[in-house]
Amino acid sequence: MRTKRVRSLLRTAAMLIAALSALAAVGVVAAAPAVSAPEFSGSAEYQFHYGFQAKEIAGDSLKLSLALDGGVGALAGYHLDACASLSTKPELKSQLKLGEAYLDVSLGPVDVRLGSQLVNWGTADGINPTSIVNPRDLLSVTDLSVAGAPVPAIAATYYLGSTSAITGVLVLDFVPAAIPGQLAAVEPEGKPNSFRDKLEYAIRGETMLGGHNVYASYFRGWQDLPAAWLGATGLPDPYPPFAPHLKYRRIHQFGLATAGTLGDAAVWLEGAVTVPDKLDELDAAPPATMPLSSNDPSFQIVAGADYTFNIGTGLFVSAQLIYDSANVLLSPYTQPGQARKAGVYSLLVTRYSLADDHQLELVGLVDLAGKAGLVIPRYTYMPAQAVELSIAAITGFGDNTSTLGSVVPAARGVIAGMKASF
Amino acid sequence: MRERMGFVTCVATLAAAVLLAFALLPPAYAAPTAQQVLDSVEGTGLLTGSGRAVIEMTIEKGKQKKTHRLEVFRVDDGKGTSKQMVEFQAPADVRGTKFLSITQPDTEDQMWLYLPAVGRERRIAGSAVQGQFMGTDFTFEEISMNENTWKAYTPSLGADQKVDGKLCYVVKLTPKGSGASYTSVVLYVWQDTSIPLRIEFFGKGSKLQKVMTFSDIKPTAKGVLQPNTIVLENTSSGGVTTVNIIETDERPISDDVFSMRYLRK
Repeated sequence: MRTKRVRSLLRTAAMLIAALSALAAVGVVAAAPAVSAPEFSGSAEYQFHYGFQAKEIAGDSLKLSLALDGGVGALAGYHLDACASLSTKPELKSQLKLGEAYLDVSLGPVDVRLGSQLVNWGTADGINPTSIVNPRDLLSVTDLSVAGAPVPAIAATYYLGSTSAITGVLVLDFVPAAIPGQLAAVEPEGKPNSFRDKLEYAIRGETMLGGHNVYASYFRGWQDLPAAWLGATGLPDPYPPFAPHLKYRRIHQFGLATAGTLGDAAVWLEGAVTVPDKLDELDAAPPATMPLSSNDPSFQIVAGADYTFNIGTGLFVSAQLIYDSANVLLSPYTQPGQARKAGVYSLLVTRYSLADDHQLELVGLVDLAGKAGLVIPRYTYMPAQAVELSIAAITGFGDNTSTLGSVVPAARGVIAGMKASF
Repeated sequence: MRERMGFVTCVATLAAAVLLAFALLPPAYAAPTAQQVLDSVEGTGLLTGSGRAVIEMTIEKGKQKKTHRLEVFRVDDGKGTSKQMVEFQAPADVRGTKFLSITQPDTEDQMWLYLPAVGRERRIAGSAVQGQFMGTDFTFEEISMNENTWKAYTPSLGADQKVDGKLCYVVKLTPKGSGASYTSVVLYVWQDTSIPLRIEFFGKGSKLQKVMTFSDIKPTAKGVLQPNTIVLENTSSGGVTTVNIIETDERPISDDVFSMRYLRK
């Protein structure tokens, strides 16, 4: 693991050096050598989650995040960030993680970003089917957000006027997502080895149509998580009759996203179709194989709107409807022998400021097909500039027959934390 | 970061008021009517400013004091199209946040917010700019004071008065109907420059609710007088918001600033 991290750091450093060399070669550095003073920023954050089911602190973390930004002349800049986290829970590893590390260069109408980076695409709030370039975690049930990890890449955006652009991204290494649950113990097959095999690419076009931002995207690369199936072992008792198998595969993804306003409301629509390369193992006849993934194409659509009601200091309300044909938002794999059912969710957010320093928020995720829900009321107090104290309760309803209902008992609890930015 | 949206959009509107600084202020008219005085205020930069400014805004409520620093770019073609880019320089938790708004005749205003933590822009609805201005007791309307601000009122001229030793026209505004926010508003407009030096807002029972004062009036590089300090005071809550103009630059702003590309940088 450490070797891998060192390799990643070296790769990033090499990319930055190469980028600086390229800059020098084209005369950008020579022409505009003024290096602006580096600017440090960061935050210190502590958060714990007390679980009602376990009747103990289910997780806690102390995080220190640091970022360094600077410019090289008028046409180039750099960014580097890292995060150190500590936990009192032995099962939650303390770690030092390099975040993004990239160099930005502007060459005429083209902006280029080289290095380890996050490519955030999409128009929806928190759940973005078209944001495909980086490996994404599953939806976190404690804050209903999806986190991504940086990838080493070269991204170039060619701007045509003030609102239209074409972006191309070449990902230089495959960074998989963390495999959830017990399958994490299984060694996946099919991981790309050669540089050429690891390459992924994505392209996105954007423009304004009728006052709406419109984005169309295409991605060809590796799926974040491997496909899974149970294969017959052929072994007699007491050995297990089936063993889990994992195999990475490539996908095509076609995405479309829009955002605009309708009267005084903001509206958005974002959807993506994912077409995986077929794996014969998933189509093998039972009982020799029990697939936990599918060869079928899948799609996710998110439609939403937000509106601020003129009540008191302003009541913000946001509602999103999410259709997930493969129902992978919370769980990427089906249970053995179970048919995949589409998931239909509604994500609701309301927010109200009691005053400048006090804020109330209510976030709810409802599984409309599985009749389960998760509700998170949160109170945030800002006692000083750039300092936040927050406390939230997590509760919900539903039973184990739905994916969301099955995670509610463990999620129930209280989350409290503080964050100071500098 | 999303919770910053109301704050951000409201702060952005402050920029419009601050851009008074960019205004060309014509000389006062001789024996004007109340409407002419009001028009002279309206036509002198509340709407037509173009340029760049760095402002610092301090909000004081009780023992709490918060300071925000913003860089504002604005162009206005004088024909109804205006573009505004606001970048937050401080405090740390909102640094790098940008807000772009484009207003064009006969179309809905277009607004985008860029949050560095999210790494992409998002559209902002018109409803988000309603309500209170980042914890102050002033509304978007009072802060931005655009041409529509006084349309709900009928102006009448009172006896001249002095504010800080400067002779002012006194314009009293009374609501035309039920759409007005106040029972009356009184503007004290400096006769020599048409700069409003003081605006008083009255609520129910003719109670003074808020006072806005403009001071530290100095000429810009082009010799145009501008107020460098704007103070908003709520007489009910005791809250005070002070806006100080740190830098101004009246050179033309490139249209490239008002683009998705600049928003993401």
